[in-house]
Amino acid sequence: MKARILPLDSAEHRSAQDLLPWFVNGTLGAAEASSVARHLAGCERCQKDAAEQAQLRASVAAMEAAGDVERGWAVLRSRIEALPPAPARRPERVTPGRWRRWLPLALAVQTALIVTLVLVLVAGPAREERYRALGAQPAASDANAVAVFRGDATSQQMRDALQAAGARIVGGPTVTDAYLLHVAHPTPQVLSRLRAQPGVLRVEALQEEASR
Amino acid sequence: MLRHFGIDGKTVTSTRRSSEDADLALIDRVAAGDLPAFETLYRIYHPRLDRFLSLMTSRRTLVEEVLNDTMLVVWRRSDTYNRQSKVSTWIFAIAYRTALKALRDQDEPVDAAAADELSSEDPGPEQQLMAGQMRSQLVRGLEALSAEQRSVLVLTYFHDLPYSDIARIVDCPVDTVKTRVFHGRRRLRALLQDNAGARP
Repeated sequence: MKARILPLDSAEHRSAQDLLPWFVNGTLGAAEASSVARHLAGCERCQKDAAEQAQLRASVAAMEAAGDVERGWAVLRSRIEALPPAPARRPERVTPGRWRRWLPLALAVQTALIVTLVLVLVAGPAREERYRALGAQPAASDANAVAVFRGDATSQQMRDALQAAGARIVGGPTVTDAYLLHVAHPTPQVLSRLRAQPGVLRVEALQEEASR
Repeated sequence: MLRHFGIDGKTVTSTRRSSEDADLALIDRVAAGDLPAFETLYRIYHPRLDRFLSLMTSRRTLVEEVLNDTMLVVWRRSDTYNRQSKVSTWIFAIAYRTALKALRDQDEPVDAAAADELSSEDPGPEQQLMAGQMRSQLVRGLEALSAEQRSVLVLTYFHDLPYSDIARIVDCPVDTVKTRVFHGRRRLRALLQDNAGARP
């Protein structure tokens, strides 16, 4: 392989020099590590630097801690016991980390509920609706999509979003704040455009209705 | 290339992850006032903090004092730990601040005898003696640096922390950490070379 000749003040060299300590301690991300490795392959100065730093790191790697943990703990424990009684500590907390673990499942359940409720609203009442005012529109009969707007969406944002997608509200809001929409041309592109509008949280096509 | 330096990326990552999980479980119990859990955490962190602080100062009594002051803060403030960083990063940040304050309060130069004292504490076979001499040279070199430069070097080379964690510990931007390490290691190399040249 032909070695590349790089000026020592090149941006690549400088960047590699900055990252070498963490390349040597093995904590760089994959992209930065491979970038430094590529540079190292053609730069003797950085190779020498990396070897020196690895040696420095190794010089204390085997260093034993000199402190006496038993004595240290005995001293600290007596300090803790001498402290005035603390106010009741909180019980084990529900932390953001735990929420994050449950969030995907919660969202999936919420989505399934929304879709189920919408399907019930769209399909159910059409068959069982016995009392209707004269001149009333058939409820949601031409709905082919369902949308959920953000809680803080303004009415102007909702109007703009509907206009951008050539859609109108034909039903809702449901108990889950979903609106039934009739979209003139419910193609995937139009629905994507609707999803991208400010104030829009979720948009789902109602396949049964759209395919009619 | 990493293996060239004796580093197995996968092993390092999986080991770190499991120790982070164990730390999180412990800190939750400590926050609920569980003293045995705190003792376990203390025993885990004692050697790591001892190594960090021993390279920050050669004064043994100061190391022990700062170490226990740090862990007392962990005991009393564990309910304020907010999981924005790793438990280890949080604890090292407390140790860093406590050490800086103690060093400023003391504000006295460290003489070579104090540094030599470290290596003579536990005399052993020849290899241990050589390691001890190397360590005392290193401690002398590190002590010639500012506490800010010294701490980032110690956390990088001797605690193998990523630069993002170090930036959180010392509470400064990542670029500042990189610059401090860059200049700090150049100065340390020059100091170690000078020391080696001065030896008979």
